Amino acid sequence: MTHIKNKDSLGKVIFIKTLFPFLLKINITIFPYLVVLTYALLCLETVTYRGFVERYLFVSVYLILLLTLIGAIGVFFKKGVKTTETSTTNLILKMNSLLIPVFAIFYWILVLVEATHYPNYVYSTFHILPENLGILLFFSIYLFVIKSLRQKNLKNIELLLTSGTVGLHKYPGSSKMAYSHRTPFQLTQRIIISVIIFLLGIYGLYNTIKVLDSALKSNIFILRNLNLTYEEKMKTSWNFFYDYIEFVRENTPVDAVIAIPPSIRPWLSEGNSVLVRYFLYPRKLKSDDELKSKSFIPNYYLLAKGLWGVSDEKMYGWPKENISAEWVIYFDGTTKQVKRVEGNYNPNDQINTGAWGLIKVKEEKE
Amino acid sequence: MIFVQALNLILVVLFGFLLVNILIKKSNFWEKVAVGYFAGTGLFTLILFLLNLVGVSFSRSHSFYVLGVLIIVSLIITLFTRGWKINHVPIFRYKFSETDLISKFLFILLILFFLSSLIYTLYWPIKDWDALTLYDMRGRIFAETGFMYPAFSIDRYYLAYPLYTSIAHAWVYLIGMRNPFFLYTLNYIFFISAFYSLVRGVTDRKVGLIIAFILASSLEIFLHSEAAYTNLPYAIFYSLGILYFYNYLTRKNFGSLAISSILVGLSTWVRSSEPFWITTILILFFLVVTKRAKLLHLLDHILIILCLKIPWSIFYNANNVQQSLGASNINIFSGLTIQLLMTRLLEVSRYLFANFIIKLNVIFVISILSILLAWGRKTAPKYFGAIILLNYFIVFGGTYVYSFIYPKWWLVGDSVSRMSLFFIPITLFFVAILLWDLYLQKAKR
Repeated sequence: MTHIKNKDSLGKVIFIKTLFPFLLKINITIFPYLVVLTYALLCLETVTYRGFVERYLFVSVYLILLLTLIGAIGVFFKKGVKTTETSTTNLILKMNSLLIPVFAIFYWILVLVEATHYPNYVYSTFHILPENLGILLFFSIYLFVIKSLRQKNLKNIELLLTSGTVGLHKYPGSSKMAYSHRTPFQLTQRIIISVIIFLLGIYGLYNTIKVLDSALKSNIFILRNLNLTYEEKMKTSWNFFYDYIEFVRENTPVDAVIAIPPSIRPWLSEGNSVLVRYFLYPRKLKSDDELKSKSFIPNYYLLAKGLWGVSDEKMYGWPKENISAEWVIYFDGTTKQVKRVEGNYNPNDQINTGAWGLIKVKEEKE
Repeated sequence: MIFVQALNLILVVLFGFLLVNILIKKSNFWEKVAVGYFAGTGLFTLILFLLNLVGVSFSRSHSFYVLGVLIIVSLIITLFTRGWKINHVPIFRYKFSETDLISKFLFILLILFFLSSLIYTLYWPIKDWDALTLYDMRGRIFAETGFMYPAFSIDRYYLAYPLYTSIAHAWVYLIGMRNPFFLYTLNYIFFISAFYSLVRGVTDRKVGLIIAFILASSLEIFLHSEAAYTNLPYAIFYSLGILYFYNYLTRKNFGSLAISSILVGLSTWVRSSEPFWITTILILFFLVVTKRAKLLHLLDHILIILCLKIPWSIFYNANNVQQSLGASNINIFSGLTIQLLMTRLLEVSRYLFANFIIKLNVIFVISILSILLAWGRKTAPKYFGAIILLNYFIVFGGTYVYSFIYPKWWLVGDSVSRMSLFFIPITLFFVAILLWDLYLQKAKR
């Protein structure tokens, strides 16, 4: 019961002593329906697509989720009232407790399935968004934790919030009686503390699910591929680039001087001297800029189509000029086969269009 | 062979442990081990760098001798300052069977995180872009040639960042291991351990465990433990330095200040372009001016930080790298108008909102709310709020100034968010001490 004193301001009377309790009562009443609605909408987006609810209901499902999360705190942490949960709320929360292991098992199974196939496999095959199941799991765990905290009657959190009613009040753990007046400062302090604890809980819970997700995916891959060699592991990370660079490394001596493309699209990888050097060291690398500014001739040229996308197809392919060559080795990334062709290199030859390989520069006789 | 490798690792940690033990009496064993790992690896790699400059090559035997000397010196200092008795401090005895369900659950999850990260770094070779192009490449050349200059003569890009991680990689190769990736998991494990100890020291076991768990479960922190970058080591050194600085502010313990100075100074040995090392100096200067701290402490703090920062700064400037890395050569003060300053202010604000605040998201909101909560309080947490606020100003101010020096300043968005990784641990620590302080005040009534 709130006490209104003559000195209380109009704003305090309207908001704190009238509107706020009214909103809390409404919250307690609609909370179970809000929970069911949140579950239903999250499930709907899990089997359709993200943004489906917003498109047809003009409200984001995450906004409804947020309101429910805040509503849960309003239901379970209203001090001064022994039980705030209605029988409907109790029923919903009991069902929620049963659903947690179901969501957890279902979610982890889908994560495992995705990890053993390819990204987006689950959605493209079963039309289920695993990420949304993670949100459902997070939501159900959150409700369970909030309910558990209430049941434990955590005096520490209540002490922190010190929400006592206005009037003579006995503080927990103290034998003294004292007047408790909720000043605007105290109310603001309570709200800030509540928001901090709420955000911290959300942050921790959400991140835990994400980290477990990441850990599970990476460990599943490792368990399935325990015997991969160094080369196979690097190939997993660098794909064709690693195959190509290994081909160059195997076909050039350690004292080779290799010309590489400029470090612009589409050769942001092959033209990056510090990246290429990691695989080809101690071979010397000369970038396109160095080739133009200094008068020296490398032993080899990379023959590189370019891995990075460009808008103009004509930009692919390097070198762009004729090179007097002993031979050119062509590398097929799909079959890993190599083909050696004797003679000079002409970028306009059909064979060089979109090609990958290595050019051995003809040594000039003195 | 494995025994030799393990011995080398233990010796580095032992050196750090002895150093921390000399400086701080009242801390538990695991805190000394965890912080000792960082102090040990940081100082050890810095000393190897300095010795290499005067001609001592990177080799297994040389690194072993250096470690030996460091440990002997530390032992002698320990015996003279602490006597023959090994300093017994209360060890946080964690009896698993006696803890509550939540603590058990969190502890098990923590172990899972550690194991997962360790499995990842033991399985995969170094494969991340920056690690291949810079950190590990330098380490390989150092280990192969025994010196630094062969790397720098190949490409001046290799001078872009300090050498902490590269020398650590080189050392791992020299002691016979093939993959230094596991060091980043060790960083993660020792960081969480140290963080837990520090939070536990100002709150209680449960709060310490919860806050440490939230930090360990932070996706950014966890993913960085599986990447051979300098961002997490930098965040660790700097944030632990801040935490020990707070310890100094609350306990007036010079040992804590010394550890803070070492860790903040070593953060510049990991990454030197970030100016956050100035934060504790500014706070301490303010306290000296308002006569709440000793001038001698400020001078010692500055001296230790500069001693650790200057070697790389001198080396870097002597090699005149700035221009070759695309920095603008023009005087930044020429051509400045009020309109340009205001326009740039808006651009930087928008840029930081998208690349910094949004990336920090909940942490940023929590830190601002916590600062508001601490505002006007007369207790120690308000100083920590000032530290966080000052760091935010440095991010903004630093980016603003940087925008006038580097023509394409807006292209480093991802670097901004990675650089500010340390806001996560210091915000979590701030929340812990603030709420604990409020709880204690309420409980006293």
